[in-house]
Amino acid sequence: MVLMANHAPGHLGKGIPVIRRSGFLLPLVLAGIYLYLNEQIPDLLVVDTLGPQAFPRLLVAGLVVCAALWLREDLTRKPTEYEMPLLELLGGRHFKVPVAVSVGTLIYFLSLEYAGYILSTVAYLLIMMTFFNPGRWISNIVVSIVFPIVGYFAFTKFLSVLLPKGIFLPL
Amino acid sequence: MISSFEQILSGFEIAVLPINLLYTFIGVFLGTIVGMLPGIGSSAAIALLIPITFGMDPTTALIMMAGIYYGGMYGNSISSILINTPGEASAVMTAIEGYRMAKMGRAGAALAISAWASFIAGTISIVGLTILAVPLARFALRFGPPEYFLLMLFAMTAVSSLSGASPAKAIFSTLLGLMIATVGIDMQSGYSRFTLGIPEFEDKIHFPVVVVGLFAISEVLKRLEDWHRGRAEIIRIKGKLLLTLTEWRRSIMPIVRGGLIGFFIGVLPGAGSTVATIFSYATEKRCAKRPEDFGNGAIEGVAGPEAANNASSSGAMVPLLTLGMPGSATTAVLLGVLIMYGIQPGPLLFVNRPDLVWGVIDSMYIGNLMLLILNIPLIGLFVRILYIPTGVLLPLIVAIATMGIYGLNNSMVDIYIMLIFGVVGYLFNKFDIPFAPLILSLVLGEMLEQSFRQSLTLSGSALDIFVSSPISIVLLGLCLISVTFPVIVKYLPKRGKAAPRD
Repeated sequence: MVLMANHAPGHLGKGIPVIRRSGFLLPLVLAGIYLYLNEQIPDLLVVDTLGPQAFPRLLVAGLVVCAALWLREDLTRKPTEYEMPLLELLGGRHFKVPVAVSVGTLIYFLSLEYAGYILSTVAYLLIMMTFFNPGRWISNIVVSIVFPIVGYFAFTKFLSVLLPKGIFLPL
Repeated sequence: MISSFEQILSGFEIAVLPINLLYTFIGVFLGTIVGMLPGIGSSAAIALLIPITFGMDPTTALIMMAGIYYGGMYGNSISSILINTPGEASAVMTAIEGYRMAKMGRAGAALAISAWASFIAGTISIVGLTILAVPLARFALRFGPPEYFLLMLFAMTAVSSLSGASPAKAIFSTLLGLMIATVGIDMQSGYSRFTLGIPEFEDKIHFPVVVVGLFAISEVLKRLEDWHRGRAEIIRIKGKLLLTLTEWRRSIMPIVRGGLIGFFIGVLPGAGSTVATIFSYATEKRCAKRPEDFGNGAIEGVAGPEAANNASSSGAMVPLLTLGMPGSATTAVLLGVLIMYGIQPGPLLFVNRPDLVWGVIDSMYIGNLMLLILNIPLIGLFVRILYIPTGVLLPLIVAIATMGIYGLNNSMVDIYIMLIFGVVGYLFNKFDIPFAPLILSLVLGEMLEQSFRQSLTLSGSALDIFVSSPISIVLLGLCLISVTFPVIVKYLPKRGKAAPRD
């Protein structure tokens, strides 16, 4: 009953979707996982009276309390404005952009150690700028090439910070 | 007293030597540039630039290091305000308010107030350092594990109470930060916790990795989505580039308060600038005539924390110089530099090497002045960063963040974690879960747990240790007030003030 959608009309005649009242599950699930992992730790009481498991157990208790508070907030929240469905809240059809960028960035990171910072970053910047700064080919190409080269040498030569050099460019 | 005054003057004689002035300038300049890089805070900036000081006179080297220290802090402010990427925990509050100001077209004002606040508060705190170094160090020694635990707890309750309309989400964010802080080798037992078999996690999940992911990468994802919606217009500067008279008037008392808060809290080893900026932010929100502006670009929310941040750097020098105890990660690096030059900090340093001590302290004043002179004219240049087309700026932020984070530990695991937190931050934004509490509890979590366990070990598990000293009683009272005050205010007669959105 508690989790059934509330169809009582609000100002705009919309109820709150059930999924939007389910946020309390997040701390609960996290508490469960964290507690499971915590119980794998040996209970060592040689050094201090509490041991390494005690503080995490307190955090688990805190998460349970947090879940209860979250549920209370969701149940007592009145629909004062249009409550977006979950997909719309995430951005609707625009959600594909952050998903695509995240996947593209992951591919960039996976290629770093093999292709090296310079080559990976040139490719990444060129592709990203082609999509998000369309039509400006010259500036896109110049920035995509110059920035990684300058950045790489500034970090490795001036600051003596290592960056992946990859297997293609033995610099 | 007269003798101290003479030493202060002789310190200025050393600080204004042409070679020392030159290296102060170089330190401030390099610190600002390196501090702007995402993921690189002032401690990393000092560590990276130590090799430059090899072969230099120790006093000159320390003067340059001090310049890098607060230059790095200002660099953090620039990246916080312009691209929402704080390099250190102490810049998180600046990122929250300063970036909002930038989005409203007031980036120049935010950068200007950051520079002025740093200068004014830095001056106040250097005077404090000069007069109060030794008695403050003695006071700091009275802080034991129970006092530290309660101080951290107070800091976390203060930040949670600031975080928007949903206390449950703020508490969730705080607890998540504490959970992340437990990953790694437990300091007391030596056992690995929550590492999932990943060797890199034994050394903890590093703060810059989380903060760059949550702030910078998530902002990239959000703004690219906005671009797709057709909402990514370039932010133009609105009105005066620098501060208006109204903005000045609103900022002056936050700067003074922030300076005092920052200095006294900065004296406490380990607490340092993070706690100082939280307290300053909370104080300014309580004192503000329009608290609903906080979270939406309130200049007081930049002025106060920036003042506290800079003042705490002088405060952190107190335990370093008087006791040989570093007050922050950055002063820990400075301690390493001192030892490298064969200088042992401690009470005798003031007696044996007054030229070095007062030369460094007085150079901090000059360095603060240089920071102001150098950076105010450059604000017009810095804000041009915002004029870079979105489709160019955002991929560049990812590329710069990758360099900065990889440079920390040469670890690809850090890079992947940064991306994960970027996605987490993006989702947090969608569901109105504040991530400032997560960041701050991540920074304070380890010390919170360790001081809690140490306290109970000392007391044999008796909880009355947390009320065993006047300091701990006061701190416990402040914690209770911090937790109950928002509830009490809610049920007081209406004051016509809305709760701000984080």
